[in-house]
Amino acid sequence: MGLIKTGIKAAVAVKVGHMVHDRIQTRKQAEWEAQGNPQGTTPPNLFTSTQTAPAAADDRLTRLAQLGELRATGVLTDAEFDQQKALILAG
Amino acid sequence: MDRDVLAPVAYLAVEFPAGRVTGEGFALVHDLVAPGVIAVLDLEFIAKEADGSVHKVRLDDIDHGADVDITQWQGAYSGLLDQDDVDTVAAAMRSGGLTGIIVYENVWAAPMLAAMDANGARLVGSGSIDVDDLIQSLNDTSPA
Repeated sequence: MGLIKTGIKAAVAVKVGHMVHDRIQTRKQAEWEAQGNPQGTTPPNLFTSTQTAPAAADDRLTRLAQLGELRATGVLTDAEFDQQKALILAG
Repeated sequence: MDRDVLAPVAYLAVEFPAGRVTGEGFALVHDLVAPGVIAVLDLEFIAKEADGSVHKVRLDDIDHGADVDITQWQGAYSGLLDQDDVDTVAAAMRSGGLTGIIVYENVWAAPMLAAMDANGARLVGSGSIDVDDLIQSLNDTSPA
């Protein structure tokens, strides 16, 4: 009887990501606002990967920790520390 | 996510027989979105009343256990399911039941499909396999 019953086509369209994702997001946003949520706010993200954002935050924390060690060991002056810290926090 | 490629889309329908959402199963979905395993395209709920009538239920109106944070599902609804879908799902439901239907994209497959597309390969099939068929095939193809 076989396992493969659906989905065999001459070619399955895969490069429709932009169109589908945009239309889904538009619908979700409309529903979000219809629920009485303020315009300009967005619903909780259940849609796109957020993997890169936490990684970037972790990276900044690491650099701040390293910077703190450099000041504690006297490699950086307080002024240099403050300058570099501001740069890291500014991303 | 490679926004140019639409990865295979599938659905799961889960019935809560007591008419209220319980357990942490849905909460685990969150853990699959963040690393790019899936994307939730739609989440809808269907109720089947004692008299057999069926209707969609808004997220705000769902009865749920204290361990379920319903607010995290706000904004997941996109209204893809039509009356035929509701009727199809309802046919499998028990009276008094509440069924959550999640339509999701298998985002994990997108980079793979993009890479194959770039190399001139093309996708010609995609689908899910029925468990009964799988067991039947195991039986039919088992070596003598």
